[in-house]
Amino acid sequence: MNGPDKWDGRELPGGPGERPRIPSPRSAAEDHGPLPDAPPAPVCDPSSGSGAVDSPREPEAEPVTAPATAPLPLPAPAPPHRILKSLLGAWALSACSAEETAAVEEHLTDCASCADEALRLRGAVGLLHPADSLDLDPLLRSRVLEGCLGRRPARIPVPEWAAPYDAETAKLDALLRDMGEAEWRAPVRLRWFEGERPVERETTVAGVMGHLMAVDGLVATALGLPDPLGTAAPPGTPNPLIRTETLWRAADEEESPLTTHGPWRDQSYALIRQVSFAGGKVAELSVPYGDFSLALRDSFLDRAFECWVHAGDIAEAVDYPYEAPAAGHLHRMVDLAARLLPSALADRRRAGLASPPQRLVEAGAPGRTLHLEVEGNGGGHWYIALDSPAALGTPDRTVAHIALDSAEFCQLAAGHISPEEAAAGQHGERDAIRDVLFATASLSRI
Amino acid sequence: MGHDAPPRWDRRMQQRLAHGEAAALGELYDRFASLVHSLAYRVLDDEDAADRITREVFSYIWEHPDSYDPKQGPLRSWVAGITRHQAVQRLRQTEAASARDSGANAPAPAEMEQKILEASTAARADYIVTSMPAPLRAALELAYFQRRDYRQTAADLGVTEDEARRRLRLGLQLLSTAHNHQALPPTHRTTYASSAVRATPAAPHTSQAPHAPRGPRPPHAHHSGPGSAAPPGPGHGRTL
Repeated sequence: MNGPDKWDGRELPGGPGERPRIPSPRSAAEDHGPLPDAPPAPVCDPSSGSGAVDSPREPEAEPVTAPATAPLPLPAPAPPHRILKSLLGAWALSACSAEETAAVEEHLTDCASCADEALRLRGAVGLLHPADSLDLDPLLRSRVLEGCLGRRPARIPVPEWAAPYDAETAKLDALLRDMGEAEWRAPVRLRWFEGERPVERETTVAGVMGHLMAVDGLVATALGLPDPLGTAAPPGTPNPLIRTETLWRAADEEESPLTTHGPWRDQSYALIRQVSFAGGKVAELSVPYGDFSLALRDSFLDRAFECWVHAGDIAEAVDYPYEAPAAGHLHRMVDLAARLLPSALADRRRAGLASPPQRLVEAGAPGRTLHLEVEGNGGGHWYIALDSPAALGTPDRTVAHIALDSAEFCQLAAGHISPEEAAAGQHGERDAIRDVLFATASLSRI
Repeated sequence: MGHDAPPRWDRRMQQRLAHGEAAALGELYDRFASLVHSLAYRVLDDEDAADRITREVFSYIWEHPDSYDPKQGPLRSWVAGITRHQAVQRLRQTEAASARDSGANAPAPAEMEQKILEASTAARADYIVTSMPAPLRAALELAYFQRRDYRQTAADLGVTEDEARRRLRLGLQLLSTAHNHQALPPTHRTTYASSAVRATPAAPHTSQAPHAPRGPRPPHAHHSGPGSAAPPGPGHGRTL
């Protein structure tokens, strides 16, 4: 077979050698019917044998070729070689008119260089193949990375507490890459829980990405990375809601909604890279969220959880399936929520929303305990201190028991279901159960 | 998305991988996993096998980042070359194993070679399509998959009919270079470069093409320094 540079540059009309056999035109990508734009095949007068006789094709050749071999009413003068040659690609794809097809095929009988190229291009058409819509298994990523790191350990590893954030941002990134501009404009309802009631806010997929980027920015600035809000960043105490609204207001309606994708991804990569290099030194760094703060290692878990929850909102809005985090990662997220529950209870108590402690407990001493049993993927057992954040929850001081599925628990902690609706098996002190379920919902925010 | 990365990204990625930065490995995966998986799937037509090839390819790159030479071309084509190599080797093994199992009914060796060649060509063609300049790909997409004729294609793309014809022809010319190679020989122990033909398919047309396509490049040879790595695959003492 000729090299790629052999068909061009030599434009000798005709030449030695036999005319190569031109394969019959491709069949349709999706069916074997005629081209929609092909004119109906003229009915040949059986008495006149012209046309079909000249055809080198078998009678069962595709109907598409019929016009080419049928007698043309008024044979126009053949277009010049230059034009015919330029038609070869369209001809190979059966994308020219019947007259042009006929003229090209006529030309191929006496122009060896064009015939050669025609053969080659038609062969290339057979290589076109619809793209597979096979979605990569999101869990393949961690399997591949683990396999690599098993063979050659990293000199600069990603801290294990950052692994859930790494995995969840990668999963959301893959979803976003499959989405078109219209989907970025799809409406999304953000839901969370405030005090005793659910609240919600309308935005779009792009708005959700802006929100994730604005709040990730709190972690970025704590690490000394640039603030994605730049000079627009609101002064004073950092507040996720205010930051989000600031970013939404700054968004240019004219701009493509996809413009949030790159900056969000770049920032998440920068965060992972930054903590990889800083290592254990920054794990306990305090990240302020306004009315509370988290150690950096926990704020990475929190951001992983938020990324997953909002990716779920996006996937639902555009009707894509979306996978839950790996069991090990989910377990860490549930664990973070369980660790935050005693102080969430205390906050609600101060606000008069939860029943007062039944007795004062010394710091570090065991107190009344709720046994939180989370079932399924990433589940486990947690013992929540009810009296104060300083008290110790222990199995032998258990006064109440809640059992619920990990997906249900996460939906509750995300503020997507109300505490009354949460399908939880429960027994023991009813006030303690109610307080813990409400405190779980109160962990949610925009 | 990945193929228009500036060469700087490629060089930096290589340095970060060589430095042993796990975060870089994650970024590499995010950029190339779907390319690697889809090429492997095209050759092997089996999802589990494509998963395994994906693991092999990233392991190879992570263990041997220095075998990529940025001067020889984009990282993306190097990754695609490794993938095709690994996948074709795997196909050869599975075909040989099933031939042994079927005894007298086994296909003739020439038939098997033909199948392997076709699978390898198909993977090469897929890579060419994803790497060709977007205007060419868009024209082929309309004419082939949407069944538009070239005049409709021109109208859809907002270009002249001449330009539509040119794009269709150039796109197919690029694609046809997928045939310009041989499948890997059965006992393949040489470097990746040996399996590739140095095709420069766009060369004849660069003068007419406003966006001269960067032709698909073959994967290239390893550095031949003392740290030079053996290619992955069955000749390497590993059981796959």
